[in-house]
Amino acid sequence: MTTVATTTPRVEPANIQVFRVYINAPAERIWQAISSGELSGKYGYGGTIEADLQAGGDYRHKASAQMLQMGLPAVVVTGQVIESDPPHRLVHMWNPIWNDDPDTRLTWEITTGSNGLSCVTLTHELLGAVATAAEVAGGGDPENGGGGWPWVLSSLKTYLETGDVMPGSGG
Amino acid sequence: MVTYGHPVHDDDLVFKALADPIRRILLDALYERSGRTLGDLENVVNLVTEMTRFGVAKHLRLLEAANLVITKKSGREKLHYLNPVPIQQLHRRWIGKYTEQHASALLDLQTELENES
Repeated sequence: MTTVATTTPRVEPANIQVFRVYINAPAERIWQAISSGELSGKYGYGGTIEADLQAGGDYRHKASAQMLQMGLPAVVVTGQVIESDPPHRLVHMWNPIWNDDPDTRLTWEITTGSNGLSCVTLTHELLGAVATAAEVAGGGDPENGGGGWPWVLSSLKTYLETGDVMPGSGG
Repeated sequence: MVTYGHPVHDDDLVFKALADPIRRILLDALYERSGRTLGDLENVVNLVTEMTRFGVAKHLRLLEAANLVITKKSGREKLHYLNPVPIQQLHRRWIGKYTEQHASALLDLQTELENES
């Protein structure tokens, strides 16, 4: 039996992408990190999340100083809150302004086991949003914006578990 | 390491999951196209080797326990998705660290050689 040794070409980035990370932190803290500006500068690409946590409320991700330097506008991701059930479920649209893509949708699910370990599942619905789908899948150089959700979630885990900002993340 | 139904992200589980050629075929198949049924994945495996649906399901369960595969219900179907997060963490912990040193050593060598000429 032989196995495929070389890289398998990806037919196309998936329309639905699912990411899961286990974080040793209470659900409330994870909720705070993904839905407000209090910790959003400590992981991922940094910047400030502002969300009006009710159905129909505004969601926006404001640029970090570094993003502004790169010439990005003050608000880099726009959207709308669809569903908010703190600290367990948040559904919102997520539309990065740098891509001319159809609207995409994020569902955050947070559960905490009896051992205090939280499970964060992020489902990203990206029908037709080809450029965004390729970016959020990750696998590229995080320093050039290629980290995608795997890198962002890893940095979220690092920050919440150790209090340290993962090298290269935040801002 | 003991888990009680709650799969903990753990390097051991990930390495063990990756140590099997069938499971790597399954991961490659999900990388190529994520969100596939057991029947679909059974067909993919059977292109390479004969295996029952039960055998394929067993491999998928190990991948799920290692958090490399996530299953989601879609109507009456159960779809399997690739979760790249543990691989990212493994890369950061076990590969990036070493290759970075390697790369910087080569860069040092390059600088040294260029300065000599």
